[in-house]
Amino acid sequence: MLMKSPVFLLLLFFTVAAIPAAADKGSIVYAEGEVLVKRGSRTLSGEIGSDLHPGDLVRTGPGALAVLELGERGQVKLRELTELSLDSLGTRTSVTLNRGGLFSRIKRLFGTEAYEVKTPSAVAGVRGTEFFVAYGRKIEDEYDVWLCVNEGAVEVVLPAEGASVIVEEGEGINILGGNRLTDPKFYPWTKDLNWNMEPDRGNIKDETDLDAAYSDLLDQDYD
Amino acid sequence: MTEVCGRMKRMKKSTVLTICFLLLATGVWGGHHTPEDEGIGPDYQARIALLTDLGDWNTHFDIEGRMEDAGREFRYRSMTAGAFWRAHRNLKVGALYRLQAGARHDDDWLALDGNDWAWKDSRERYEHLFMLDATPRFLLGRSGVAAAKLRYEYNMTNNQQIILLRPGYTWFHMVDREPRWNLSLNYALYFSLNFGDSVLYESGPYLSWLYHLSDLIKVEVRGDYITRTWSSSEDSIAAGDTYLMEDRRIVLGVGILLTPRF
Repeated sequence: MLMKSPVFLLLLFFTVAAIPAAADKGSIVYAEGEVLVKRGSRTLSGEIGSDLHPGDLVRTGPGALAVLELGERGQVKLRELTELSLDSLGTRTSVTLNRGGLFSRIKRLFGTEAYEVKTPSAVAGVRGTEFFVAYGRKIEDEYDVWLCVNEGAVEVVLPAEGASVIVEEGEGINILGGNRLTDPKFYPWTKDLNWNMEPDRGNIKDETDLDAAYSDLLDQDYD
Repeated sequence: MTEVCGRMKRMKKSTVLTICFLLLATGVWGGHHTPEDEGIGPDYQARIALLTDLGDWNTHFDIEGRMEDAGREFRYRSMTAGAFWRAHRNLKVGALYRLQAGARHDDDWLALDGNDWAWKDSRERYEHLFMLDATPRFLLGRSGVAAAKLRYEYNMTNNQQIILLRPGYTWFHMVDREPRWNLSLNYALYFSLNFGDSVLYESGPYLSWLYHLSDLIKVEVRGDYITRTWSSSEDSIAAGDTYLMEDRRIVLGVGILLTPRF
């Protein structure tokens, strides 16, 4: 399932001065089910409180979830069956989503600070504070990638195609086959996404069926 | 001809009807007690529908009108309301109520003064119908859906009951993973449960094209080729005539569908 095609970058940019350095490590702040951390040749059980370092690979099993603190950048939540590589942590935080789905809640960035989410299927840049990225169906050669924004705005750019689009709060897009952007719009299925990352505030597991993101032809009847 | 029918009365009713039907079909017997096909050119119909998607539930509301017969009278009108529930991924079931006016039934072929016969003007006759619907659907490939609508209709005004069986196929033209338009070919079979002399009282294909202007608005264009079998009316039987008469007509229709999702 690990996909190794071109890199898909989701970048967060905020152009404000002042640069407090972010800690160069992260941690698991919440976990449910099987969570594994691959560090070099070792595979560790991911427990609440486990430290995370650049180069770590975090995997969630069936029915599992994990919330990670990424230094001072913010938090991410991994859905079940997700694999996330922590490429770098610190002023420029970069993660790669190899499969599954990822919620990002990023604090306001300053100066040269940046937050990147990569996927292997395309290249894009985004701005925003809370958004969701997930793999959809593989209808063409590469997987579709869904992106939707809960707070702020996201700029998605596909450099190879010279295409870009701003995704506003409440909107979503599909990167078709990883290389074509749909027009941003509200998708009813995104209402089911569970953005909560704080267990103290209730259930944080997201069980949205990504198949709902696709038109259900069996539901298209008009008489 | 009266002598011929007299002998027929000694035969079983079904045999009589079959022979009469054959005579009619071959044009041997065309009496003025028998309704005639008034269709010159197509009938026209239009509908506007509000079809709400509430997840596993769908609500249905539509208003429909039809201009019929040679005079293109705005005769048939209906309002239908109800709901469907998706009991299974491949099955929707529903219940609907319909208020209609202008519908024509077998006994509406009336003897007027003298030797004149005509269809009753039913435009002000309001009827209440209750319907139960079950429609299995199956994907055929990425862009096709096969369905078979099964509907029971009970006309509470005249107690007539009907079973509709309508197999069909719909092909979707997809753009960006979403349907942009779809083309449907269906064949409707209406079976009478308790009226008339022909079990299959109406049948025919219809072709419809639906364009998805947006998630909310869709427009449709459709064409039906309907064969309706009229059975003897009470007045015609009283006048000593029985018949099975096939009325074929083309109906062209347009519609606007509002399809909000919540």
